[in-house]
Amino acid sequence: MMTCKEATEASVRKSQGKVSFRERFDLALHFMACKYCRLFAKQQAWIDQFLSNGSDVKDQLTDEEKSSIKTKINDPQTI
Amino acid sequence: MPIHALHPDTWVDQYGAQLLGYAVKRVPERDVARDLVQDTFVTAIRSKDKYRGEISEKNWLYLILKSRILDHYKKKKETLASDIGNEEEEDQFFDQKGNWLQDKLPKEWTTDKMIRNDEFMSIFERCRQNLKEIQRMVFTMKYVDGEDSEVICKELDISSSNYWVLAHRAKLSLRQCIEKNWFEQ
Repeated sequence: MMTCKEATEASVRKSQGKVSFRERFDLALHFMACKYCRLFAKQQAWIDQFLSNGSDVKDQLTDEEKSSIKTKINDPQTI
Repeated sequence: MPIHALHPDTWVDQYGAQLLGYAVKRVPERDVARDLVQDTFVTAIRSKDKYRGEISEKNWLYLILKSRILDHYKKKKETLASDIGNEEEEDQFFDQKGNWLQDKLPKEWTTDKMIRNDEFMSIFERCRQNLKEIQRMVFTMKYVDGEDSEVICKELDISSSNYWVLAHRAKLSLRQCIEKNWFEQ
């Protein structure tokens, strides 16, 4: 029988498509006996959808930064 | 005949913000991200003779930035090694037999809170920011860029077992943080 630690790791690997047939079977067996790991797997799946959204960092260069970068890349020493 | 050409004069205004946005998602400190973007332009200018015009200048700049970011991680390898963690390290979630620690047991989440709104997203974002730098980077490569775990291991030069320890811990921490700060509030 898998431990909870192994089951949650297998669950993470499963979510990335990296479990063997044997592990898939062991995991299903563990899930039948353990409601906590079942919860973990279900909640993980829910969390994953937000991870793929990326963070909504909208970032702009300030005018100062822009001109400093421009100076730098136009500097003959750079080139 | 090359299809694309370079127009360095327009780079900063045209691509600066997009490249910065890309970098900020991958390195937490904005100043570092900005410097990496600047490096990207400098590297691009210096190697413009190598540009063959086979891809657009925008994609070319992204490629340079991406390799700059990976270099940044490789340079910090020693500090990151401790963030990756290893199997022997004391476990925050499980006892020695591999059972959940009592106070870490996942709780039932009420369905009426399983919604996506601005408040939830800001908590989610805070929990993501609480992860270790390398954990965040791996999540971005995995979920935003959609890269395969094997590719990520190669790019960051970490072993596959390190990768799974890291991904496992990151998921445990993120789940716990969301539970504590959203579902139990």
